[in-house]
Amino acid sequence: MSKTVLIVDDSASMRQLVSFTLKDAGYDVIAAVDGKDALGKLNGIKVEMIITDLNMPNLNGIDFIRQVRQTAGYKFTPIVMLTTESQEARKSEGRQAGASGWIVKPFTPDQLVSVVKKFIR
Amino acid sequence: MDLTIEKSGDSSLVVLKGELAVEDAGQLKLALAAALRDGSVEIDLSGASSINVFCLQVLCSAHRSAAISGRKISISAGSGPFTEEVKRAGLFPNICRKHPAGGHCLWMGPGTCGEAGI
Amino acid sequence: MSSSSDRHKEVFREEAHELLTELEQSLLELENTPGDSEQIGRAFRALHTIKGSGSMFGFDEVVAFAHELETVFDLVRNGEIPVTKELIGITLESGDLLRRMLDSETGWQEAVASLVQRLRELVPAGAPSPSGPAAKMKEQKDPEKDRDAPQVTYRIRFRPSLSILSTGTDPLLLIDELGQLGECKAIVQTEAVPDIDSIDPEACYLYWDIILTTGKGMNAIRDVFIFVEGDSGLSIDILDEKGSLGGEANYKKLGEILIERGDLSRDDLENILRNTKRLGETLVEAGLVGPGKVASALAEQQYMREKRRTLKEAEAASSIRVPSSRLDKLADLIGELVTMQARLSQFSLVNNSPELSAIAEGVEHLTEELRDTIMNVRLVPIETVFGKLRRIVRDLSNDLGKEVELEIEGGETELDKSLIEKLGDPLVHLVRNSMDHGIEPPEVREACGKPRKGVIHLSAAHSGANVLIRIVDDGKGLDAAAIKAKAIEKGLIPQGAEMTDREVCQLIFASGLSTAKEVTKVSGRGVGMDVVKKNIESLRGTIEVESWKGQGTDITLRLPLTLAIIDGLLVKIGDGHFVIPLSIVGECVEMASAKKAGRNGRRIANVRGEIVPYISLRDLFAISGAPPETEQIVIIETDGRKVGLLVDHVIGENQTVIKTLGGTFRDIDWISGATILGDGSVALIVAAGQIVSGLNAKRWRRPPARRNKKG
Repeated sequence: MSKTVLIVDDSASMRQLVSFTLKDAGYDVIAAVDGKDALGKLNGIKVEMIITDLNMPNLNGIDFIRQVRQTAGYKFTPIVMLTTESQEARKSEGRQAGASGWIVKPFTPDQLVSVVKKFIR
Repeated sequence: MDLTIEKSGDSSLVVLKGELAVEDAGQLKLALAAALRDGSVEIDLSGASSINVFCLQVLCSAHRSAAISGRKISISAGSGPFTEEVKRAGLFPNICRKHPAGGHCLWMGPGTCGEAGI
Repeated sequence: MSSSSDRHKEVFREEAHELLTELEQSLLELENTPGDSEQIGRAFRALHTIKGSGSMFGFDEVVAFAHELETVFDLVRNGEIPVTKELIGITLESGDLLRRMLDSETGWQEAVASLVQRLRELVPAGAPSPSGPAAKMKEQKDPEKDRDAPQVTYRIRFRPSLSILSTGTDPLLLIDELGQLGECKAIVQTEAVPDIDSIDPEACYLYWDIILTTGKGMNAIRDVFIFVEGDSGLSIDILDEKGSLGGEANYKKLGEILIERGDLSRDDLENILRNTKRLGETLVEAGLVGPGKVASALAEQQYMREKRRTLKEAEAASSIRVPSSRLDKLADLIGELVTMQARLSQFSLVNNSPELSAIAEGVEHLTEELRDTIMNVRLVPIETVFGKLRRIVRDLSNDLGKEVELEIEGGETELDKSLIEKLGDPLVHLVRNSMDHGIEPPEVREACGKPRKGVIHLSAAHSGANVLIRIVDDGKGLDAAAIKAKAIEKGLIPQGAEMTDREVCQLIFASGLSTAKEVTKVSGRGVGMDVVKKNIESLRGTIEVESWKGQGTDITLRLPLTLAIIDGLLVKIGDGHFVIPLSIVGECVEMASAKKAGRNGRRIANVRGEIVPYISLRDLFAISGAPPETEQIVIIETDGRKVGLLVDHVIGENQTVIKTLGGTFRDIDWISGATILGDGSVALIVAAGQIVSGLNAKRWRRPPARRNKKG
């Protein structure tokens, strides 16, 4: 039974890259273009993990994480944020919102998979 | 998680089946707390397909309460996934030798504690 | 992979063009409403995404340029620079340039440079700039690199924050990840788990003690906890650095581990130790330490013992390691045993019981064998010291501009461990000296018809109960005439002293003599060779130099195999016994048979036609009473000369267990120690080398010879 990952990013090329990499590693992937779109898609389905960009229109990453944590069924779902720089301020803001970890762009497909494996057994 | 409680007299048999996920820890806590108030508790895990460490933590807590109140709690039937998770968590038979709860290990069953060589 | 990555690139290109259109539109809006924060955010986001995504697909120049723009717009967003016509103009131009950069590989470099210049001018000095889009990928460690790293065993205590679950982290996954780094044993601690009525089922009360052996290093461990380290407790200690037999054969005791971890105080431990039960059980019963803690410490103990045992078994076939303090202790005990055995032999001699003397003889054989065995155990190959010299020669060659090859022979020769330790400094000094004063610079060597490269030959070999170490160089050799002149100038020898070249050469060991014309940083301060000689003599060794002008120098060290027990020659003067180290004794002759060759009280004996100066130890030690009619001369060889020591009687060989003298006797140069004889009396050990140097000094000194103050 393969596990499902939700990728949230307003950049089409990023969505494609992440989807491609994770599908290649045997995961099912759902993609959303921003926080608002992602909340709509989460609506009750089971996902094992969420990967989200921070800078997005409509609903940005931090607020998205905050709302996911308050949604029944996703309280304990691992959420990894994509950041451009490893800025401490951004990281701690994300953690306070309930993010489990982060991955800094640019990253290699291997790095992405190894972070995912940290959260999905 | 599928949870059923069979009562006979002042003892309860708690049967846990399926996936014991992290989300089930709360329900497990309530069930065990209630059962322990009534008397001794036996837990049947033979139908459990997976057990999250937070559920193990609740079992551990129940074991502690039983020790304090002088009630008996035991795992009457384990399962492969259960044993595996106990090992993975590093729950060695470390809590019950000379334990007021009655000298046997909740995790490994009776007669295993001595191996720790304390 | 390349086809998929090309596809990704194409998607990014399309996306970037769309984003640039976004940027353009937001800029045009801003031209009308310069303060519109929504439009500023839109522009910033477009640039940010181009930069972030571009970095994923290898558009490095695009990323770098977008970063410059993003920096400016970050400042605009924070209200630090205003939106001006100029800014909009430059940014529009930049957008067009980015399009060109996305589509073609060349032809835009100059334009980029000039736009970057103009952009930077917009940024006020000292404004914070976000960290650059450094290619983080390149910083990633190469896993291959760590492959041969030494295995280190760590003790990790991981105490997740109570709320770790609120960030969706399952602590067990982290423990699993540790397990992938190497051999791992995790023990959970349950003591903080509350009772069933008060437990918050979503809080993490469990914490873990983990023992991990890995070659991947501390950082790899920290990386496992990278997302939780801020909130969770994490301590990492190194238990075993080498992953081998560091330290004692047995791993720490349980109590030590608990104290080290801060789980138990030393006072509590000491109180409890008065009990006789097993420590763990007792501690738990006394309520001092939770059973989980004890189990965890026990697990560590077991893990480490097992680890060491397995590592050891691999090595056991060839050797075992023992702390040297134990060997020292053993050597001490053997010394005592030798002394005791001497008493037994003495006693059996007096008692004249055949049975007793058979026993005494047996004990003597066993003791001797035991002594030799222990001394053997303490032997270490001299290569350990020689190896250090290789490096020194290499470094010095560079410093001095000389070409030198170090040849090593007999590195496997074994010496007592304590000797090896003390031999390092003198050898370093001697080799430095050879390089500095002996070996000539390459041009000089060539001019002399020698190969450019000088050779220092270092060798070690056994010679009876001694080890000979030679440092031979093919340098310019010692200039005997210069040394002699210098020694006369310094008042070390009288004008016109008659000495062979060989004797003159030994003067380099006299204090206050240096013939090097200039003092280099390597040697030549006139301290050194005398110190070397002192050091060697303190090891009961001797040092000699032989040199051939223009051809080289040969320095020979003769050292006893061991320091603790030597073979000695027991002699008697008056009522007192003395021991002369047998290693330097050449022969013993009766005074009657050796004609007193000297006249006017000069003490010179004629031994089979050879003239040998001698010293009366009776006089030297100021022993009262008359000497017997027939005295004995013990001929010793030191510093390349033969010297006789006049004694009353020669008693015979003696296994001498050396006892150092107390501080009171430290200044007595002519006695190097003492030993206890079989009858319990004390014999002093004669420092023959020192006496001979004293004699030389006296002989060479201007008459009238002063009596040595220490006599």
